[in-house]
Amino acid sequence: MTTVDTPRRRLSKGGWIGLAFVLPVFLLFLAFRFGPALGGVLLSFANYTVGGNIEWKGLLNYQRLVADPGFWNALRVTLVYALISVPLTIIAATGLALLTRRAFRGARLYRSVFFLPVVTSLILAGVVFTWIFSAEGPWSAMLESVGFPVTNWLESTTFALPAVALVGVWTRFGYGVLIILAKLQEIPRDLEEAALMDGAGPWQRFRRIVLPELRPAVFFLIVIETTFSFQAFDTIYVMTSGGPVDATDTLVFSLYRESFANFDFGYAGAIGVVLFVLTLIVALIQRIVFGKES
Amino acid sequence: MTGPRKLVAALAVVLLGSTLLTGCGTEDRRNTVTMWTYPIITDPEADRAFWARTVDGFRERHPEITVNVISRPWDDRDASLTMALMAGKGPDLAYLIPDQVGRYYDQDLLSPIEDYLPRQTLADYRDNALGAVTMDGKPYVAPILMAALAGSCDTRVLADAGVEPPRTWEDLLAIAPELQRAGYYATTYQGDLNASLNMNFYQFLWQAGGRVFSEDGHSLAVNSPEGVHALRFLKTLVDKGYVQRSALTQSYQPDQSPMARGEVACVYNQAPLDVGNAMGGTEHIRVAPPLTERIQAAYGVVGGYGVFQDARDPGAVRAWLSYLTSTEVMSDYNRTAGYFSPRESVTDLYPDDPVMSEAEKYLDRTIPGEPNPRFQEVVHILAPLVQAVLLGQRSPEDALAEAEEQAEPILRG
Repeated sequence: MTTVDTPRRRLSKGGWIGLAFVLPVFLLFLAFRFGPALGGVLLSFANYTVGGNIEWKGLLNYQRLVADPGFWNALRVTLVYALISVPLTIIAATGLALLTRRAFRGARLYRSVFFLPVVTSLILAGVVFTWIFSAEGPWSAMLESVGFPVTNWLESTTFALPAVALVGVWTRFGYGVLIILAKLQEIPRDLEEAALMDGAGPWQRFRRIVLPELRPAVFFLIVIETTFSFQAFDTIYVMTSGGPVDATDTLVFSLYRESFANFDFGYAGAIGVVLFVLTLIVALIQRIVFGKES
Repeated sequence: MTGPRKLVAALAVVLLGSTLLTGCGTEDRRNTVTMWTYPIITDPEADRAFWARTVDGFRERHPEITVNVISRPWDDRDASLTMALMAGKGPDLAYLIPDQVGRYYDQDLLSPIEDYLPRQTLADYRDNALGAVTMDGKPYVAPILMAALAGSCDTRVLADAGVEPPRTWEDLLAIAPELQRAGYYATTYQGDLNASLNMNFYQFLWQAGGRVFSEDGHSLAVNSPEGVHALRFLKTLVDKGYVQRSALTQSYQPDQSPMARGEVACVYNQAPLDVGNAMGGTEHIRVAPPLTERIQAAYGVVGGYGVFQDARDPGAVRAWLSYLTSTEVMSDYNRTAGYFSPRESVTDLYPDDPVMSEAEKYLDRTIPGEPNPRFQEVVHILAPLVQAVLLGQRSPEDALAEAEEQAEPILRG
């Protein structure tokens, strides 16, 4: 029998120096990202007081979650919010990226303007959109002009969630424009020109050439935007506080309320773990469905 | 030096540097008191001046003690306070209201104030003020201010509609159509989920003779004929358009509220001075008695300072809190802030102000909440259900039964 010696890979001097440069960021990641996340998971199995006392409770917080109708409502609201905001964000981002793709006078200005909502304070956006959706605001006026009755969407248990989801789209589409636009620049022009020569129309060129090329960017956006939509909080806090009734009570809003209003940190930890697992599952599903060819 | 040794050396330098920097931040906390307060005195200049003269007055008596009064914003005050306490960077004492006392007590954060106040000061407090901050027989906050949410009526609206301020629910329903014909709302009900239930639903519940919690605090008492009666009354006000419907879901800045815009006859969810501030003065305000159904009751604001168990120098805190609750400082504080004193010996703070003098008469009629460690959790259960009733999505009976069912495991602990 022969054995083959595999030499151990040794780091070069440059490798050690590289590791030393990475180490501070790695330690910061451990201390401020991984550590708190692990702490949150541990908290979910305990009752923790502000004074620092911990009482281990096993799966009790999870049993409470399963029996809590408020949790199931928050889960439903979170998923519906994501189902509204993620596709709309990506559609809006793709559409606007295609419109501003070509070099024309003012294209750069448009791209900057589209990115503005991303860097705008969400609290400020929430205040402004509260007025926009009010009965006296422009949204109601626009709907009235096409025959809908005047109503404050934020007062309606049916329309409040779509309203805050639309604000979510407004705050995020600019980032999507940036990503899609970058990918669009990479698509070889001769592909589209060849299709044009063969008589393909705009829709066919988009569907057969542009869209397949955009697939990695769209996949990336779906994952990022789903994660962001699961974490929606600021605008909901300002615009509806989770209401009316419980129409916009998302998982993150419940988590905030349980921890900082009810001081129930263990239960809030359990909600956080569910949110993490949910995000992970959705990301994996998206990877299986959209990511194979990307 | 080899690669790994270089790495270890670099780490050692980082750790040493961090240790030295941390060492720079340590300080001796003996003879030092740190207190968190909030913009209770709404004018920032007056607030700064009050605390400067109060700290100076204290330092004349106790030159060895340093007092740091830190004014924090109202927004997210529980979140910032709990985070600071969890990090071991919290104050020695902070401004708290009865709604907070139960939760902070439940977390073993507060010390009984019997250990910090002179006996005669404790004995001088109004029963309802001290009762509102008492858990298991011991008070945990030293009250410093009170307010009565008696009725505040707009004299111009009353005159225009030709009606008198109501004294009972029946009176309110009787004058409401007259007011509506003249283009006014009879009153307001703030139903958004950030609004205090104390200032809205609970005071109607108390007037109907009901309670939020059972006597022992381990069950919900709101699912009762009195609770249903209170909700039906409020639903009538909403359905007939006697209150502004948008206020069921939207909060208003004080100066943008229907009352400030001259659209409402009388409000019961704001103190008269706050209404005056929003209206630009109290000259058009007439104080009306709290409403009566089965009993006459109004919500009463009580605020004070609670001492945390981790107070660094209890002796210094005791000296400061005793000074802060002295009749002299309490008079100055309440005159400056526009509140009333919770001490029975400190009265008639506003002899020349008819609105404040009238409001002071109702202090003993107020209920400053029902202290319970689960108060906030119950609010989060009840508030959306009350809102659902008023929006016509639940019946009062179903909503209160659902609230009881949801609250039962929480209150049972």
